[in-house]
Amino acid sequence: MESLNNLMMGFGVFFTPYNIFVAVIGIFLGTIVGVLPGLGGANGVAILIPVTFMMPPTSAIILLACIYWGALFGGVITSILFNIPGEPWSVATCFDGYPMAKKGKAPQALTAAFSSHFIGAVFATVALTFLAPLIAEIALRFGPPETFSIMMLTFSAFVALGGKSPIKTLIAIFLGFAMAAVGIDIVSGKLRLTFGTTELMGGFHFIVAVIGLFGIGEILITVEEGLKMDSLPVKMSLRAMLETWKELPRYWKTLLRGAIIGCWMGFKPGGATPASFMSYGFAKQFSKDSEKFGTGIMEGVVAPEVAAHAAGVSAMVPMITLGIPGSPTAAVMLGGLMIWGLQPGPMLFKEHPEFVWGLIASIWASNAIGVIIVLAFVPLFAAILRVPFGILMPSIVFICAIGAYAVNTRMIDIWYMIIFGFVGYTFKKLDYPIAPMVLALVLGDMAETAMRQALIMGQGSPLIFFRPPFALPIMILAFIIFFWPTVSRWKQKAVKKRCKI
Amino acid sequence: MRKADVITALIILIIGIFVVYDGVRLGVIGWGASGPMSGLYPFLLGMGLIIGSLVVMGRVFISRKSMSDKPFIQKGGLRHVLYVAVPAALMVALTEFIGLYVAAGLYLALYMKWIGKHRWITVLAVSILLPLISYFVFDKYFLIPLPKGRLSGLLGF
Amino acid sequence: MKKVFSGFKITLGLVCSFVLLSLSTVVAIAWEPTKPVEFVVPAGTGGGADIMARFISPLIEKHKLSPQPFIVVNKSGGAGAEGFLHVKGKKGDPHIITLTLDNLFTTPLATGVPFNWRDLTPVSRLALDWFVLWVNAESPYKTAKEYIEAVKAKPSVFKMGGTGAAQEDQIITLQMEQAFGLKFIYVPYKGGGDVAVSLVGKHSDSTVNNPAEGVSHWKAGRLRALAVVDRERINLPDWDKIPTMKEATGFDMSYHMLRGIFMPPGVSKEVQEWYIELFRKVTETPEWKKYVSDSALKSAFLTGSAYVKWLEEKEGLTKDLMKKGGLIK
Repeated sequence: MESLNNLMMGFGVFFTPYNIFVAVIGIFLGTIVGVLPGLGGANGVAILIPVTFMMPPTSAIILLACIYWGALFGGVITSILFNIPGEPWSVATCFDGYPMAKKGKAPQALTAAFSSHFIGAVFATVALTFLAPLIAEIALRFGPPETFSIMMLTFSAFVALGGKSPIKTLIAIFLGFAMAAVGIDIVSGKLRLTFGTTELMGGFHFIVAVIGLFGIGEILITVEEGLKMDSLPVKMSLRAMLETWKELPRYWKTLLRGAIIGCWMGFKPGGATPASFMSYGFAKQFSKDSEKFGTGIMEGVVAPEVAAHAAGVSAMVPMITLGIPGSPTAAVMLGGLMIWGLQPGPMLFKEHPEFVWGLIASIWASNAIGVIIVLAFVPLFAAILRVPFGILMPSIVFICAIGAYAVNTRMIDIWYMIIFGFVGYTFKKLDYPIAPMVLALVLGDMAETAMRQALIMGQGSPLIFFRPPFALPIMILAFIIFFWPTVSRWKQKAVKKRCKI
Repeated sequence: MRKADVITALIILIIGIFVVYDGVRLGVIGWGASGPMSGLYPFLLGMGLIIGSLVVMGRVFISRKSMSDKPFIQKGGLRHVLYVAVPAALMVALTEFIGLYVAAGLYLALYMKWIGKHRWITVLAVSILLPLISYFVFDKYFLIPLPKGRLSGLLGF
Repeated sequence: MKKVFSGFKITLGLVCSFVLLSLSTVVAIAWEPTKPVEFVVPAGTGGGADIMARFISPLIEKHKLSPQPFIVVNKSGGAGAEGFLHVKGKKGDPHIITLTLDNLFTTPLATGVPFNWRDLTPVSRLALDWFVLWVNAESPYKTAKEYIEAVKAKPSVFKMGGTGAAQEDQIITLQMEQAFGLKFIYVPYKGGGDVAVSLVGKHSDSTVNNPAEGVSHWKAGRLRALAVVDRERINLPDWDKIPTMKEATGFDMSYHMLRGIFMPPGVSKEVQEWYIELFRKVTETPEWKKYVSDSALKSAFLTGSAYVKWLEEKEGLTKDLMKKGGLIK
């Protein structure tokens, strides 16, 4: 009950006209930042830190946190409308969101995405309010072997997403891993796969690859079928929104599963991206409409989005309680805390309760404000699709080029984007699945590092990957999920046989 | 389709050889101060790519029929794809010299007029305003200086 | 998007912006930046160097120390090599500076990247970072001596967590191993925050984190500071209770991490002077002083030939330690 009292105090701190104003501004800016690919929440937060010098720390963190929520909301928009993920955790949203938009159901997809965001946020905020210290304790128990087991779980959840040809799926995964390995190897401190060039030293940035593979690749695929200069038909009405809401409760299992995955993954650095992939993979494996995934169904939008936002919120837990950032944006916020004279970490709860609980209350309130704001803009976002293709297409290419450049401020990245565009186009035609490659590129680095750290810790013994109490059950779960499709197919056959007899 | 399949597999094979080569350079077998040698992982990945691409090529030759007999690209399709790809690549190439803003302005104008067949007023409005807005958003507001090529220093930015 | 735009308005807007732009390039008396300065951080977002750069750049604006803003750009590829080579390549460009850590020395040595700090123009040393030997507060070791005895008794059992490989944390670990005849299992992590958490979570047995990385866990009573890797104690409240390596173990050990500013090669003396003055003013602001003591940094502004001399010594020391530890041949 102490938490409740504290939360009430937090609401008292939050609900001043000034703070609410700050929250609205933050959500607004954040959404813009999230929409532009290559410009992440981290940029938005970093740019506004100087502004926050003039503010009381609580208002300052509310502003920065709201930019973060806004970016979480905004990342979805381009994934659904143009197949270009604005943020890494929106990649899985492309798989069904973009086909939905192509069918003229962009408003429904956006509404579903924003609403699931809100549900994820509420779920994670409840967890954060009452369980933050407990979650932090569990987070501490996760060392390299546990991280590796989570990676295995994510990959096994995603194995069902392969293409028709298993060998091509494997090639795609290996290519993704190989790209992830380019650059410095933090375990040995040596440069790998750079062949002595400066250009390769920074490796392949995931966002650049994704803008090319998905965004540019999709444009090439679209135009091949003919240069249609007209725009997509988009019917926008309040009815579409209401229909979506009516449909949402049907996916309560997916929503709940995604929210739990998100909460649980969020407290590990970079957790939102694997969480969204994992949630999508699980939803596909356990859904009745498993085959329809990827063709534009709402469940495929709901699953990754609920997990991504839940993870985004729970990434605040380690930042507040342990002083480690759960995401790059949280990392920049940490810098902000120090500038305002607050020392992030376990003492923050004790030394500045008004700050911490004000922040937690702001998560409740600002996500509610946020979802209203973005939902109000759904018609506007959907209307972008009505812009004639002859204008829209080059504009998208231009924005993509900016996005690719802004990630690392490197010219070479724009070239990479163009090359990845061709790769995406070719791969799609030849049935090399892109999704597993992207997943391997995102997580390859983390998975390899965790594996090697664990091997060093265990002095070479692979038994360390199965150490209780966390790594062992997660590994077992990963194996079960991995073989699930085979088992269920076998079971179906057995049932059929029995029916014949 | 068969030709495209084989060419892609060949490219993957070459990438695989490069990856294996670098893995061997870093050392594959043994146990260094930092656990497994840092070349082991690239080596295995590269081998995977080599074997995979060989299997794909082999299958094309053995079955004499790849996944599909459809041509890789329809006749008219290639022209459409090039209409998009060539101007985009040109824009990037120009960016190296005259910066992204000017290059993008030219690219937008060219594309909208030539392929989109829009009215001049629309063409000019979009191709001037979009780069200008981007300039204020990125260079001024978010302080992310976009490439300006040789124009850097001129015009005060 | 609306289809009709008035051509006149666009022209007017263009003219206005050109006028504004040319106004900003009015000739100044001494040298001053005439366009935004690129502030390269050869490390990732959220790390020590990044936080410092993102702290300094708004500080410059707040105190109006420069007519142009400083724009932080992260180039962390290749353990910072990407950033160094980028700055090295901008020969004579007065609008680019970089904030480096010890990777200025360790990265080229470990990776063989063609780069040396002599390729850059030194501006000033801003601060030095201490290193502290930490253990988990629940571990039985109350002093550095006890801990070292325990490690000595069981070689290759105790895990030392550290940032990256062939960088300062591993160098200090090797230095300790050689001085006391120990053998740790060195486990590299991505950043200092991860390292500290690995110790709190007992995935490591000890770390040599910087004070800022361990401070919050220390104050929360989850970590124990055993010794400072320096000849003198840290001259700050609370920190001054931690003994030096020599006091705790009898072995004299000292290692600091650089936080210094560099420019591309071939910039004029005038430009260099302007930046030296700028950073002198930065280190004199009250905010800087508070930041330095909050993050337990050693305020150590140094410039000119003294700075160069210090860099030479530091490079020699780093090379020597890395060679002895077998990190380079």
